Order: sequence, then structure tokens, then C-alpha cells
Amino acid sequence: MTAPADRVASNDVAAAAVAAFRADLDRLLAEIARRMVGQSDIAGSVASALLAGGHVLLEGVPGLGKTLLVRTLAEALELSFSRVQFTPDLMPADVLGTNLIVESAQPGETSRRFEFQRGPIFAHIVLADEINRATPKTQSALLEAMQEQSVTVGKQTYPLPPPFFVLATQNPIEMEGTYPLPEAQLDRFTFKLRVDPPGRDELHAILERTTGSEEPAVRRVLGRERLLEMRALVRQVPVARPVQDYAVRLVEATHPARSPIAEVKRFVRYGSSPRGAQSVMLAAKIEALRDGRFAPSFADIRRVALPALRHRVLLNFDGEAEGVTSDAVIAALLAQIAEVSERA
Amino acid sequence: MSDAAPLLTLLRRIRRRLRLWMAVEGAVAGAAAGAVALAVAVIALHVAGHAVGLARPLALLAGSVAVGALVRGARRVPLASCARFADAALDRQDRVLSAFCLQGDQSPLARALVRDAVERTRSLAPGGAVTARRPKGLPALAIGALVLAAAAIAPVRSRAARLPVVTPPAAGVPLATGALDVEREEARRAAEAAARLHDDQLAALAGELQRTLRRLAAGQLSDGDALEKLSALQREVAEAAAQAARDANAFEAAKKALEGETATRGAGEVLAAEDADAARARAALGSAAAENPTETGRALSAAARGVASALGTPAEGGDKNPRRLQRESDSSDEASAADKKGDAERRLERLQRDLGDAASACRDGDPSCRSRAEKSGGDLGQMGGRGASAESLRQLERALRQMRDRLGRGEMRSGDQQAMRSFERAARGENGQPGQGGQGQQEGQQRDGQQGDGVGTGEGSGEGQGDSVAEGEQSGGGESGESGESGGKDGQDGRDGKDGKGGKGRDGKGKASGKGKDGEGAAAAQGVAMLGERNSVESTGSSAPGEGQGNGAGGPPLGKRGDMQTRGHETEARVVNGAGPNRAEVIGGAADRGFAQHGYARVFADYQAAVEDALATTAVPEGRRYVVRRYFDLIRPRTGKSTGTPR
Repeated sequence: MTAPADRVASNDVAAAAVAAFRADLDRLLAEIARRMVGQSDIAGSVASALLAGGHVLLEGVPGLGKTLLVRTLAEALELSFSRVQFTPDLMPADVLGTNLIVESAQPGETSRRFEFQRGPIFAHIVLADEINRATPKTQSALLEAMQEQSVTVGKQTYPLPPPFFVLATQNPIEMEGTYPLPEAQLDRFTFKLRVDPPGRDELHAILERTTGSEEPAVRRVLGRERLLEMRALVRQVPVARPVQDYAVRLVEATHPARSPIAEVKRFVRYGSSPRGAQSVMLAAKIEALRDGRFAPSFADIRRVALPALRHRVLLNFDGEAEGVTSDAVIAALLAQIAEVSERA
Repeated sequence: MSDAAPLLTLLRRIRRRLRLWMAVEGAVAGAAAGAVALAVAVIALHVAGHAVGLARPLALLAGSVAVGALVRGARRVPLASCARFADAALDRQDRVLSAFCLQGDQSPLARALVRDAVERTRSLAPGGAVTARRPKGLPALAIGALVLAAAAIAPVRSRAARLPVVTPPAAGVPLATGALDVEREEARRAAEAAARLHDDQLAALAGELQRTLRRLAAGQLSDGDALEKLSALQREVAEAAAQAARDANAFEAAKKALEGETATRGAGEVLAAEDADAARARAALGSAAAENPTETGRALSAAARGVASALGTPAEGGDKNPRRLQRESDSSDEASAADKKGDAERRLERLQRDLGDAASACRDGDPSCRSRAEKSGGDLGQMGGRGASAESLRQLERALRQMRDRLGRGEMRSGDQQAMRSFERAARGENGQPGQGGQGQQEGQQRDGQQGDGVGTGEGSGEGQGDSVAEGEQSGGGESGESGESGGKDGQDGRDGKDGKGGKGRDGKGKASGKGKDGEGAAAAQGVAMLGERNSVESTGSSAPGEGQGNGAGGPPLGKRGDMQTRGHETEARVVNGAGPNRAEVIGGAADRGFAQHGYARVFADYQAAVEDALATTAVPEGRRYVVRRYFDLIRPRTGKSTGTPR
């Protein structure tokens, strides 16, 4: 049993930790905003995915600052960053690395051995640009890295340096010669974010910042250790049972066989995996911490449900033919699923 | 003491207030339901004729309020729900709910969560969490109250109204006493005449009329049936009267012929006597034939010519008419009348032939002269009797016609209807003055001071009393028509019926008929408007459509929607969403029907193979491959062998 004094102390510590989390995250986002014009929601979601230990798939036409966002994030976090431009002829070894024969010239003796040459994936933040232009074989090379945080080449497994964060982009317009990500690959991404074109004011700001003589410099506001601490704090956030039940019911309702929603029954082929629920819950926790709260709310669940579930809800032929989007299906879910279950 | 204790205390207080409000809402809902139920009960009781007091309804309402409040107020209210109310009063971030659910969690963040919730709810009162609001059932209560008020002011059905309504049948209504006195008198006279003249036909007709009158008076005959009966009887009487008139003419001619010869003058006088009968006529003519056969033969010959002249043209064509009537009577209602007419003519022809034969026999000194003369005398006597009943038959026919008219206008029914008609006429100012006979042109005085001329012709009865039939008619141009009056009031010995009374007033048209002892006739009067005080209107009796062109706007050339009358019936067509089938349904539906085209299966196989090659050799995204294959799967020919397209 904790003594009252200790309890008060621990309460103060927890409150301070939450406050520090909020402050650090705000500083990170502010730093990103110094270079990035607009897209604050995208930046916040990317930061959330980073803190949740997940990955982000950015979808948008070229030139919207996707790459700039990732580079800025890497710079602000003092993390290593690598960029891989995915092309159809890109091979898995080009991403993961390969074993090379290395000769060691020692006096009187010459030996040859295989030495693993690390690929660009061995970085804290990896930008997989236009990931849908690589073949499924190359895309699948990212599976283990994204989920297990490790790379296996031959019989050797190489752990990736934590935090490992993959930010992939894809262009939704140019579909010729592309390979849409398989469902298993999509499921690895915590969020799928759609990057919209900037507005008029934002465009003005972009021109002022990028066509002038001074380029805004990005300071490093968070170190790797602090980022890992923040990740750990996210995992400690408690969740009330009704809130968790709401997330579970939302994810459950994405499955046409069990969903009470007519749109889901009609247009959805497969619903979200449990990874979707995990993503929703972690993101909701981060949302609560960003707001200085100690537990997520129903509103947090609703706020993160769309980016966390939209790439996990796969439409059937009817949905494709009718032009229904997964966003519309999830919107119907959020509108029709009650926050508190009748059975509760 | 737990950190969450203040929070739990607050939640319990919120729960108490929540229960209170739920009880209020339940009371309102119960009151609404009770009001509606009470309204239904009140309406039912009022219809049943029972007055509803105040105590029971109030008790019922109070009971429904109490039941509603108990049902809603006793429902279980979880503290988690109260926590949601508290969160709604704070910032809707579910801090209280999370703290309540995680109060047992000892992790630092959970404890911090509870502490944060307690701090934030320290200033929150239960009234702030559960604010006073309008009960949801208030509109229903208002509606229920309105329904109840309407039911309360609905009139209670009286005891008399609850008695079963007995609608008097159209048939079987007894007539007022004295309504058929005139007809009864006529029937009685006819029966007496029949007995006096030994006319079986007249006796039968009089008896039939008396039976009809009895049934009508006793209510055993409806007006409609009575009208039909009287109509048939009138036709029959009219036929009999016509035959009798023809017999009378023939009889008169024969009698004059007999009176013209010295030998047969006695027989003629016998026939002319009122109490003459066939036996005396037979004897008189037989004796005349025995005493002076030549002169008797001449008289009989003259009588035969007289009968022939009475027969007239029909007698000459007597052989043809019956056949023609017989042909026409196959499906006609006049068959029996035609037969009777033919019988009468044949009887007269036979009489003419017998008279001729008797005359020939007497002129030729045939021994059968006497017997033939006696037979002819007997026949003439019988014919004279039939002719004597002609007047009675005419009177009977006239009585029947008047009775039909009165019955058709409902004048025989109860006095209420007559009083009502009199009142209506009085209200319209149509009451004319009593008719004055004796002149064909009269002036009428109208109530409103206007004068009208009435020109009438009519017949009056010798007794100065007659039934009158009057009709008033107002033309289109007249302001107020004046009913014509009739009244064969005092036709003095008027054989020609001079005494009618014309209609008076403006645009009035009257018809009058009267009957009397020695005269009969009908009067018609046409009223012409004269200058009046109010309006100087002289109008004709009827309006006619104008000629020329109008300048007003016409109606819609196509008419209104829905005006068109067709033989069909309207059916509302409902379209779901108004969008028809979607693309998936169109494709799927067409596929289900197999794209019923010749050779489709072969073409499909070719195309599918080409598509599979393309999918295998080109870089088509997997998701798009699915769509393409799914499409081909849907459009595959269903009647042929399955192509095994992967789904």
C-alpha cells in the first residue's frame, strides 16, 4: 500500500511527466512548423505515430512537402535519416543491405570474409518515397523491419536502431506501373495520412519562406533518449474500460460479418486487424497526453479512428464500383456506433 | 479514505438528482399516456351515453403519473452514467469517467487521473451536471391534454339517440284517414254502376280499385307499387272505357235505326229506356219481326249500317287489325289491350253481320226472321248495357289518373309533408288566392304588390268542387315565379269546362284540371309579368342560349390535372431513392441473365484469356487485378460451362 505522502509525490511526478511530454511534443511540432507551412495536422499525426512506435503512410500528389516533413522531423529529433526512392527495379538488398566479400589484408595473411553492408533502412527515420513504385518483393522487404524492428539477411538478423520509424509516401494519381501495397504491408502502418494541397494563405507563406534568401534552420529539440522516454510514457497511459470498449466496438464494426452498420455490410470486404485497434488506442493515448490529460477520451478515439483505420478497411467490388471510400465507411461507423454500449 | 471518495460522493449525488429528473420525466410520460387513455375512455363512455364524473378521471391521471414516475425513477442508474453527466458538465474529455473506472488502478498516471478528476469536480454541483430541462414527454402530454379536453367537451349521447333508429320503410306506411275518400267514393260509384248495368268488367275493375285502395290505406302497398298498380288499372279502365264508348256509339246508331221504323219503334224505345235489358229488347224486336217482318228487316238493315258506321274504318279492316296486333303483341305490354280491342271490334262486326242476316231473313220471309231478330235484340240490349257503363268507366279512369297524380306528388302522405309544402310555398310568396272560375282570363294579385295576368282555360265541374292540379314554374328571367293556380271551383254546368283559373304572377305557368259531375277538362294558364314595384321585368317563360362571341378568358385548354377521366385507375409509382439500380446491380443483373447473346460464351472465353495474359505480363497493381477479375467473374456466361475465373 502506498503511503499518502508517496502517493502525492507520485501524483506530482506523473503530472510533471505528462506536462513535460506535452511541452516537448509542442516544441517538436513548433519546430517542424518553422519550416513546414501548414499541414499541422499531418505533422501532429506523424509525431503521434512516431511516439506510438508505428509508421506512417503518406498519400498525396508530389510537391506537397511530404519529404520535407520527414527531413524536418529527423533534424528536429536528432535522429539519423535515410531516404529511399522506390523504383520498379529497386531490389530488397538495395533497401536492407547485402553481404559483401571483404578482404582483410593482414601481414602474411590474406583472408576473405562476408561482411554485411547495411542498407538505407538502418536509420532511425526512413523515408520510403513512392513506395508503391517498387515491386511487391521489395515492398515486402520492409515487412520485417517495420514490425520486428530488425532485418534478416541470410541467417543473420540485424536489429534496427530504436526508434525506427518508416514514413512511406505514395502518389494516388499515377497508377500506371505501380504496385499497390498488399494488405499485410498496409497493416504495418499506424496511420495512413492524406496530404491535401495548401490553401491560399499557406501557399503565400510557402513562397515567402522558400523563395527568399534565408532558409529557416531547424534546431534539434528532442534527443533519441527523450523520444524513447516519451514512447514509454505513452505505454503507461491508462485507459478506462468504456473508452477501450468503444475502440474495440469500432474496430469490430469494420468487419462485415459482425457489423451492425449497413454500409459496412454492403461495401466492405475485410475489416481492420487487431493492429488497427492497437493503433487507435496508442494514438488516442498520445492525443490525451498532447492535451495534458491522463487518459484518453471518446473524442480521442474518434479523432484518430480515421487515419488509423482507413487503410485497414478494404472495400469489396460493390464499394469499388460505387466509388465508395473507406473514409465514408468509417465516418458512417463513427456516426452510428454509440460511445457507450447498451450492454454496459 | 480513497482518493476517489469525493468523486464517488459527487457521482451519488448526481445519481439522486438524475433519478429525480427521470421520475419527473416518467411522471410526464405517464400523464401523457394516462390522458390519452382517459380520453379514449371518455369518448367511449360518452358514446355509450354515460356521463363521466371528475373524481375517477383525476384518480386515473394521478395513478398514471405515479406509475410513470415510479417506473422511470426506479430504474438502475450506473455511476458510470453519472460520470458521463459530470464530464458533459466539465469539458467532455471523460476525465470523471476514466477516473471512476480507474479508481482502483495504482499506477502513477491513474492516480494522477483520479486526483485531477477530483480537483476538477470540486466545484461541480449535481445541479450543474444534471441541469433542469424540459421533459421529453411534454409535447406528448400537451397532445394528450388536448385530446382529453376534446373528449371531455364531446356531447354525451342521449338516451333517445341510443335507441335503435327505426327508419320507416318506404312501403307499408298507412295513409292518413280520409286521404282516399274521393277514390273510395269513385270506386263505390263504379261498383254500383256495374251492379246496375250488369257489367262484369266494370265490376271487376271497381273491385280491383277497391282492393288497391284498401291495401294502400292499410300500408300494405308502397307508393311505388301503388303507382304501378294504379297505372295498370288506369290503362285497363281506359281500354274498357274506349270499348264502352264504341259500343255506346254503335248502340245509339242501332237504336236510332230501330226508332226510325214504325214496327220497331217500340223496340227502340225499350232500348232507350234506362232500365232496358237484353231480355226486353229481345222480346220487343222478336214481336216486331213477327208482326211486320219487312219493316223489321228494313230497320235491322239500317241498324246494321249504323253499327257499321260506328265501327268505322277499323270495322272495315277488322280482319287485318287483329292479325297485326297479334304480331305486335308477341313481346309487348299492349298485347292484352290489343286483343280486347280486337274482341270488341269482332263483336261489333258479328253484331253487324247478325243484324244484316236478320234483316235479310226478314226481307226474304225466312222463318228464321223472328229468331234472328230476337237474337239481334238481345245483342243490342247487351251492347246498350255495355255502352251505358262507358261514363262510369270514364269517371273511374279519371279518378285513377288523379289518384296517381296525387300519389306521385306525395299529397296522400301525412299532413306534415303537405304542411311543409304549404309552408315552402308561403315562404316563396307563391301562395295564390283561391281560384275563381267562370272566366278565362283573370288577374292575379301577388303578395308583393305585383300583378300578373293569367290566361286560363279550363273546365269546371257542375258541383263547384273539383280536384285541382297546379304547377308553378319559374323561368330563367323571372324574379319570382308565381305558381299557377287551378281550381275547377265552380264550373257552372260547364260541359266544356270553362272555369279554370290561370296562374298569376310573373312568369308563372299554371296548369289546372278539374272534374265535375257534368264536365271535365283541363286548364292551362300562362302568366305574363307586369310591371311591379320592385322590378319592371317582363320576361319570357324560358331562357335560351345566346348567340355571338364572348370576350372572357377561356379555361385551360388542357384542363386541370386529374380531370381526365379514363377507364384505368391511378397508381402511385414509387421509386426507391429515385436512382434506379447502381452499377454493381446493373452488371450483376445482366450477368445473372447471362447476357443472352448468341456466342457470348465463346467471346467471353477469348476476352478472358486475353485479359489474363495481360494481367500476367503487365505490371497491374494487385488491387486492380482483383477488380478486373471480379468484373469478369460477374459477367461470365452463366448458362455455359464455368470458366473457373478466380475470384
